[in-house]
Amino acid sequence: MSRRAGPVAVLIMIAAAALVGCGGNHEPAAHTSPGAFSYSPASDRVFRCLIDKGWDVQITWDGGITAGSDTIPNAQYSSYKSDSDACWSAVDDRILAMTPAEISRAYAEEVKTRDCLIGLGYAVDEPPSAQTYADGFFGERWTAYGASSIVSRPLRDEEWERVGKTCVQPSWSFGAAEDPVEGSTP
Amino acid sequence: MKKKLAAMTGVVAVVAVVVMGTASPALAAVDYRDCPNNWSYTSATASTSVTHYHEVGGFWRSVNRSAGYSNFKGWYKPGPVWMEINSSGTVSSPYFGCSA
Repeated sequence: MSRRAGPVAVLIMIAAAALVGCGGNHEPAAHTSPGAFSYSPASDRVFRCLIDKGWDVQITWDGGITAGSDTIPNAQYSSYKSDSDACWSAVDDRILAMTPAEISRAYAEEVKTRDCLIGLGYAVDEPPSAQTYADGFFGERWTAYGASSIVSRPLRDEEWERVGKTCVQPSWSFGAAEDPVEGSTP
Repeated sequence: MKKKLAAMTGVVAVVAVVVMGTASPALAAVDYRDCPNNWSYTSATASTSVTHYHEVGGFWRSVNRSAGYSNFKGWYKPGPVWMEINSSGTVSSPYFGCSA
């Protein structure tokens, strides 16, 4: 695969991604919006960015944007990483600009995700207070997944997919919106 | 980092873990594992997007994911595997290993 696909190739890739679900892992779900590539709106935004730049990348159901030397030669890795970093920085910068109101909503979603994981039989530590969560949001951020027994043992693919689709991580939506969400002002 | 990794992929070495701070930005964690019969595996929780990078014999694979908990099966191939996790944000619970 060449470093830069031509415009026609890019269109073909986008069409193929839409048809086959970008690597065959994507299954539309009720809570994913029309045209979504994965369960992660943030990853979808980056995926579009990289496709627009001509890179041959794929996206998995859980928003993993995969690349490798089978399609991107080693000599082009630095160039790919530079573009990837640029695409992700838009998402990450938006996360770093999240308002207290957005963080408060994120906390509520994490608590729901914790309940969801417990419902599937996983042990999850008690959540911190809303204030403690907000205080650590830009550093050691608390997540229901990170506080669960899942991190201590790798899950098999089938189990990871079942859990990930049932208890979607709130953070998968962080940074997906280009502008502050309406009503997000403190 | 990548050039250093590339240069070291042919070296048989003992397991080495380098974690440059657990609560600071731009944390990167690197590990070497020999996964003779299993998938190489990384996982981590990150406050911003995170990269899981695996390298075997000069070939690489990577996956980028949005903030949160994520994992990646890198290779199902006998031999030494270099694995790296990095993020512009804070990474916690970095894990490297070979999974069944």
